[in-house]
Amino acid sequence: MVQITRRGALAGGAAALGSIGALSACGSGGGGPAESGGGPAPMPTYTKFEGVTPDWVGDDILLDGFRSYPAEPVAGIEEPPGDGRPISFITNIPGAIPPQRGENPFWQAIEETIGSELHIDMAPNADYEAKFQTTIASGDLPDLINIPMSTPDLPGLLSATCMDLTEHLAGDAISAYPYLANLGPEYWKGCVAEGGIFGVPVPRLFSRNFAVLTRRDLLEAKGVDPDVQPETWDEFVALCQELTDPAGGTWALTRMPGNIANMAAGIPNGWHRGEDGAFTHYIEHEAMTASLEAQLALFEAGVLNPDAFLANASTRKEWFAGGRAALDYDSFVAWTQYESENIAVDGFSVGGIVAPPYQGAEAVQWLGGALNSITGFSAASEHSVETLLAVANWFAAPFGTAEHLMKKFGIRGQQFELEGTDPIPTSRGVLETGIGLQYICDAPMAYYFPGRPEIPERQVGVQERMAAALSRDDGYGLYSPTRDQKAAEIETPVWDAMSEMVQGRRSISEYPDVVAAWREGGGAAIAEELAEAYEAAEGA
Amino acid sequence: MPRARSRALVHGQAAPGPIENAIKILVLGVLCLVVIVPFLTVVSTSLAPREQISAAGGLVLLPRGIDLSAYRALFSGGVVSRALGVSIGVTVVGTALSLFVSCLLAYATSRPYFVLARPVLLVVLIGMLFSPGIIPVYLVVKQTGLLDSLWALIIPTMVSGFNVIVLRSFFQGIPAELTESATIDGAGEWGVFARIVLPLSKAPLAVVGLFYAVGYWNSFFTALLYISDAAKWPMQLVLRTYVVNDAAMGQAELATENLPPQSSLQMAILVVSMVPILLIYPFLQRHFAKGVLTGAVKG
Repeated sequence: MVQITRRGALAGGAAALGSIGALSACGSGGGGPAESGGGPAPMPTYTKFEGVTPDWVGDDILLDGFRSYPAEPVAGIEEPPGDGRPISFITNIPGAIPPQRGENPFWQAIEETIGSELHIDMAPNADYEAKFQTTIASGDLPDLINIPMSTPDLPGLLSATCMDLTEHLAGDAISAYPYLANLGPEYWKGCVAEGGIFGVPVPRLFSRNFAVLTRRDLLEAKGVDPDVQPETWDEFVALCQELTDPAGGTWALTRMPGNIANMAAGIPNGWHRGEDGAFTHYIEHEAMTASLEAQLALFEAGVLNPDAFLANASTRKEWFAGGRAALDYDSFVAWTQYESENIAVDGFSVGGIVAPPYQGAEAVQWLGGALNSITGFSAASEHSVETLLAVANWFAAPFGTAEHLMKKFGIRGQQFELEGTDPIPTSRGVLETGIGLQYICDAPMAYYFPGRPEIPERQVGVQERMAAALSRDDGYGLYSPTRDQKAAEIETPVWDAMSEMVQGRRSISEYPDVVAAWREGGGAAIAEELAEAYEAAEGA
Repeated sequence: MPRARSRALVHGQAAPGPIENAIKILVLGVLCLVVIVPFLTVVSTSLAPREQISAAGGLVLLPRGIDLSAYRALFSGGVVSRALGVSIGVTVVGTALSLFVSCLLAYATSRPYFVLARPVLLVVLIGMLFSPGIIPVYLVVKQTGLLDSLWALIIPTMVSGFNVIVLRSFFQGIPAELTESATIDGAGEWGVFARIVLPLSKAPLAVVGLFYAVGYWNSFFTALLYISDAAKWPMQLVLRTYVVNDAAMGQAELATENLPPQSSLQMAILVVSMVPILLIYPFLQRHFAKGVLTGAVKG
């Protein structure tokens, strides 16, 4: 067993970590819901589930890692959590369309296990918000609601339509739901509205940390150390040049790793709360011009695929999987997915490079968005809050438990077969299990790959390198009406300008003007609102 | 006598010379390529082997060999074949019902002696000009118990005001002598409609039918809103699931057998969703131009 070390305080958000109340008010990105009023929310007490022993132990932020699936998964829940009556749930589905309830033995087995029928109303990822908003507007709410983080006026929606769970989850009350208690405070911050807890989290956080993903096999073929970690940005650029061969139709990078350059330049993640209490966005940071110059250096070195600024995610993945690019820029989730989708490709192996410092800056590593979504319990539901929490608790089962094996892999002989102690999904199992259960509630991802322990070992290694200088988004968990209404409108010109500057089509010297326009368009108002929301959430 | 012209007259105009012909051929050739190349790329990518797609970075113009694994993967779960069945069923039933109701409405409002023609037409026009919006329609569908029923894909969009106007214009243009003589011969209103008016209206019926069919076939948003059971999803919603969701066929967190390339799957499902509606066009082509013009000039 190896203990993962998290050296030093988390950069950026360190000042906000003093109290549980503070935890409810700071964090990472993209518009969390805490309302600016009501004082510090009473947060659930974090109690790591000790029933399973990981090979690499994480904590409330860092992820556990496993070489293999435990031979005898622990059963942590004895009684079915359901009340015998159907539970309805609206959600997106991330992958292929699964067989529906009547034709899906996995779905039926889950229902039998939890003791209630599950009526799941599904929509494809890209269209889910349209369906969700229509459902909300019509008042036709299911018992469990998958609420996207981008929902306008999220605090208002949560408090108006969902059950208040505070009394059942705050402090030690959550101990009645040990798998929910296994979710760290960073996840719960996003579920707070108007001083109360109005949903359960669907966690992401570290699994969404981004790195430069490497094709280790291609690096090795070029005579480069497959586990190379450049010590400086210049070394990174040199590595990219070594991996580029335009005559052979290969370029090092699939796209511009803009945020890697930001991290390399030492720019804090998302919104940063300074010592004076003022909020600033990373695009305002003085090192942004250095980051843009670092990106321009990559562009001018000719190491990006010529279509890098036009290609969609599918094409990018084709380049990386097909060997036309040795480096991609993506998350741990994408890493595992690459390994999974290319398992039959001889020698295919992925590694990770974390942002190296640019020109002596103190590089930071941005912590990924804490939540995929929030699951709210409809206030109009006929089920008791205890029942719905017990169901969420069941679906929050962490890796290595019997409940986890059931919800992720299904039943042995049907949806998976065992190789050693590792469950290997059958093709039928892959389809049948994709019914969106992970969006009811989930445990944080664990590093694991059936039959390939070297993959989680590498991922844990990259996590350790990142852990040294993590940077949170202090705006996470805070609500700003202006951000809700204008963020996309005022940010688009900034992204466009950045794109032009890193391609040498516009002078980087114009960047301050771009930022000034952003501040004037609403950026300054957002900063003020976030500061107010922080003060209110702190109860100051 | 004047010298014979060097170029023959075609429809009273001089035949184009070789340079003009060359330019026309070039322009038309480029236009054809603009249409054909994307279509060919879609079909080729759906059939190309994995190695070629990977080497090409996603899209292939001409496949080196035929690999049907993308089609096998699509049809393996039964989702695509069932969605095709749903789409075909909704399109056939919906088009038939739409034509039936639209013809009745258009015929009734085209009769000068029908006293309610103007008010009814006004209702049709209001429905055409002012959309009620998503939420009110959703509430109506919910209150009428149509949620999660395939009828929700048909009934709310069954009558198009535009198509009714097109048909009505055509019906009004049918000479009154024909319908009067049928009446003199003893035909009732139904007889006139079924034996005189409809047989004379094949062209506009074909066009309006095609409009309805394409509408039903392409519709995905109604299914997204009203259908919870994915087993009832039509082809276009399945298509969006696979094409718009980039990671659609991958399975994060799980090791699984090697899947066909994503581009290949996406193009295969595009082909599957295009072919059935494309097959209809050749059968309606001869009516199409006439029918569209008829409706247009009589409006």
